[in-house]
Amino acid sequence: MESNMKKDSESNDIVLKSARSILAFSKWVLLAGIGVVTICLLAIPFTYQYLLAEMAKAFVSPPEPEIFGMIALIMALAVVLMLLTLFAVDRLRRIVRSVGEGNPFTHINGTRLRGIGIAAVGIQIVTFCASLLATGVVTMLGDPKPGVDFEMSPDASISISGILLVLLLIILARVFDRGAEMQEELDGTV
Amino acid sequence: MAIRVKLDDLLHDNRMTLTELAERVDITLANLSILKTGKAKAMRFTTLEAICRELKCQPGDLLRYEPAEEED
Repeated sequence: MESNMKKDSESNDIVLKSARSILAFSKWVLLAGIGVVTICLLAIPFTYQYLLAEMAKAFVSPPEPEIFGMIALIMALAVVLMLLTLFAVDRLRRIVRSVGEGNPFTHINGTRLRGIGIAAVGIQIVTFCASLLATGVVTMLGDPKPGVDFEMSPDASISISGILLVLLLIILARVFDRGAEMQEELDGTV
Repeated sequence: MAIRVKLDDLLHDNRMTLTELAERVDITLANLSILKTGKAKAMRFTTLEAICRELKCQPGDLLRYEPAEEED
């Protein structure tokens, strides 16, 4: 009975409710983002001539058509980035749900956290590669014509907070594994 | 598990049912069943004390070490 009361109070917890809502919203935003970027990526072969003409109007030295290969690659990386984030958000949603159900210390949650950690590593690598490509694109575009407002300075660097996040997630996964062992022991204690 | 719980024998000797014992020692029937069927991994001293009190026995009467059963 006590555990039921605990379960009810936890599932009504404002933090849990907010987390569930934010994660559900994030999931749909990411899905929409993946859809939009994929459509734009697929549209490049049909629109690049028009885009090249527009670029020629805006920049001093007209860019080469090869620039669209780089832009397409950046977009593909953006899709990969969003898929990885979606994977992490989905795992996090499942963890939050298990907390709401009152039983978060399970081996599967340890595995989920490790999965989020691996996704975080992937996100770091993909972001770094996309930033490098973006720097290349901006360099290729060169200076804008007078009167054209174009300001873009991509920053390709390794994020310290990203590395700390990965470490935190991997350690937390171990904490959950140990927690699951302790929970099993407690469940078998009379 | 080489430790055998002889709760069945003790209940029989005391002419008591598992439900009755559960009420007397204030432990859920589910937990006592886990103990009776030998699925328990650990036992609290408070549980042992309550069972010994109600069944008027010693811990040794409840638990028995049988190493042969360990070799599965």
